[in-house]
Amino acid sequence: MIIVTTQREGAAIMSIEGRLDGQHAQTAEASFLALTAEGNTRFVFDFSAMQYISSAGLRVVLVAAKKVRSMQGKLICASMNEQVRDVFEMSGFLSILETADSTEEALERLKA
Amino acid sequence: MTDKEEDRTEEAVIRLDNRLDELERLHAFFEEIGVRSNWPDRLKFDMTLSCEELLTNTINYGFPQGGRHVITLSVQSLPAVVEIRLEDEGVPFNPLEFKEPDLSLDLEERTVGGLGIFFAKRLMNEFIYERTDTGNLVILRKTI
Repeated sequence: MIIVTTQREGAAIMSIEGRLDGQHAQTAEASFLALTAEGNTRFVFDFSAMQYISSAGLRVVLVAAKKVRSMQGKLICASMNEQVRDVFEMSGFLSILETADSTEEALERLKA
Repeated sequence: MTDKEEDRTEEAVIRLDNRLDELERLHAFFEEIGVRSNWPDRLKFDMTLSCEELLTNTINYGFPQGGRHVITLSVQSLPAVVEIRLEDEGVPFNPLEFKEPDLSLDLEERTVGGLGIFFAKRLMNEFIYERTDTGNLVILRKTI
């Protein structure tokens, strides 16, 4: 897993590339928490280069969504591939998380 | 496809330590058997996910006494079914008795407790648990 963080239009974009699994979940959570500590409240999780996610990875997304809500911020998960999306679907998370087809679309919505 | 290819059975075994960084080897293992057995990407993904979930559970909760322990995973890939056997010497744990997650809760109340086992049960056609003399055995079967 590689995490690339970009600041754009007042939002923090966290691109999580590779596998967000039991091995890498803690690192991803720490990266997210570091961004909140820097004062970010608006987030895009860019999953365009994510190949795989398991329940340990979903936990990180859930922790992030709860944290962002407590900060009255916003988090949008963008560009899931089909297999990753199916894991979100199976977990029921698609109904409690905000998703977008692309990072561009997510940024547009964060501006609104 | 010739008859010979259809008859092909692939078998593989991997022994993993009870450490989360062993998931790296788990993924490489499924990449390899997936290629050798001509699995579609979806099948490889489902098999890997189901095994990771069970393995992560065993690593995190199976050995409260600590120390190094070995978990054995074997795969038998037949033309119509894939069978996985996961054996450990951890504390007794029957995943089939684990409470299913409530998928209807809202964001504040949701947790991921039980989600991994729920995935494995949903993705596989058969999920068998056996308490052995020395530990736990889970057998998963997926019809292709």
